[in-house]
Amino acid sequence: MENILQQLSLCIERGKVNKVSNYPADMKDLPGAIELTRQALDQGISAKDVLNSGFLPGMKIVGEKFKNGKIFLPEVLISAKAMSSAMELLKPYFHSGEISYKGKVIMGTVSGDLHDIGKNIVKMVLEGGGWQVIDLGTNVSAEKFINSINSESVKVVGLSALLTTTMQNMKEIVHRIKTETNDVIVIVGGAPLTKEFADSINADAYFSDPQGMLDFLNQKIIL
Amino acid sequence: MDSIISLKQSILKDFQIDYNDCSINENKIIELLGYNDDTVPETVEESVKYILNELPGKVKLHSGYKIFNPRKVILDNNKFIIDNRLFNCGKIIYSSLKKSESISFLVASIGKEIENWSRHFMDNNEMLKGYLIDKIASELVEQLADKTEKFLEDDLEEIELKATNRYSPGYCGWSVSDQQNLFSLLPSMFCGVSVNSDSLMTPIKSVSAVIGVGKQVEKKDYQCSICDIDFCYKRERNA
Repeated sequence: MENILQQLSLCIERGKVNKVSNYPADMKDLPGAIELTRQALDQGISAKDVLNSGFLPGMKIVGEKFKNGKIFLPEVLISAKAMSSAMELLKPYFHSGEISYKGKVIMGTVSGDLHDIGKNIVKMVLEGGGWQVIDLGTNVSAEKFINSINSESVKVVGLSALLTTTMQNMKEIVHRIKTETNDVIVIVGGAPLTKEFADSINADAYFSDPQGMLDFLNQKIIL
Repeated sequence: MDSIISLKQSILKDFQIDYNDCSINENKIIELLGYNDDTVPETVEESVKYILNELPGKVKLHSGYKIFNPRKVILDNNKFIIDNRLFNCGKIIYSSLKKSESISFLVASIGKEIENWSRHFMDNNEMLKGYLIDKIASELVEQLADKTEKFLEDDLEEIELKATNRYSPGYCGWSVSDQQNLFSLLPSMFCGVSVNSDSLMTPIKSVSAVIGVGKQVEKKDYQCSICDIDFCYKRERNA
């Protein structure tokens, strides 16, 4: 059991999606994350073990390498693709309740801003870390965030902005979430942001990289 | 030649540019991603090659500039005014513009289709290609702006005038909200670009900028050390 999960973890770390994918060259013709996930489940390994001992360790290594500047964003995306492709096989187990997410997070790019690459990357890393992400997309108003917080009973929200103008919209959205909902943790991110700005708008946390947010959720948030 | 007399009225020009006149270099993209030739993963290299090969059919390069009648331009106290519209450009940009006899605005865009192309890959679990298209598109629109800036400089040289560096709203201490005023002084949909109430340009891969014009102005190396915007594209491109 350990061997197959270690192989699965390695496939996710290296971005080996399936047997036919030629990347990485030194893993050519070997089974990839999809085949190994299927094989593990067929062998009777629980979906929970596949997730916790196969998927999560692989993405954790990727996140830490990225955080430490050992790899660049393209490699994170390559790994995330392997992870999300194999994750499709685990979805029925999430739906049946056999495995559960660590928690639920709402994410969106704030109103006026149509950029979503950064948000999508964070989303993939969080999902790879075992969190369910409700993605509200781009140009998301305060009302939409608040309605979603209430209807989904979510206690963590991630706001993204890429423009200096929409950082002001972020300020307004954080204010409204803080005044119109109870005990919701607001995390902000985006290229022009700083910790000082996050503090000034009363956000609970700011991270410059996806792994920072994942580590925060894993360590601080118990839902 | 008296430059003020030679620039008695506003000048508006726009250009449809062939992709081959503004092509981008694969090595430059690899470098912008953080790699060198030895470290780039082969799938990244292949994806960059694929995108660059398809790119000419996905972009429409359109750019232009307007040089304003000097009599309509006032520069004073970290601000400039054109046709009674006030631009709070801040001290960094003002220090570069202050000797200008006139002001020009530059716009460049590579069109909307490339956004849809990137979106297509994003929506189909191909984040890498979606991200690379976005990165390459950003570099292409900057190159288009560089080329247009050169056209402006060449035109100015003919009337013995020079240009400053170009500065975009949202950078070097200039509020992006001045984008509204900037576009209000240009023809509607100039170069196919519009600006919304949040000062966001559509198509997204567009550049707008101010350039000072005059006999005494200078083009300098970007002074990134005096600006605190870490995420600035100029800082990344000049690194």
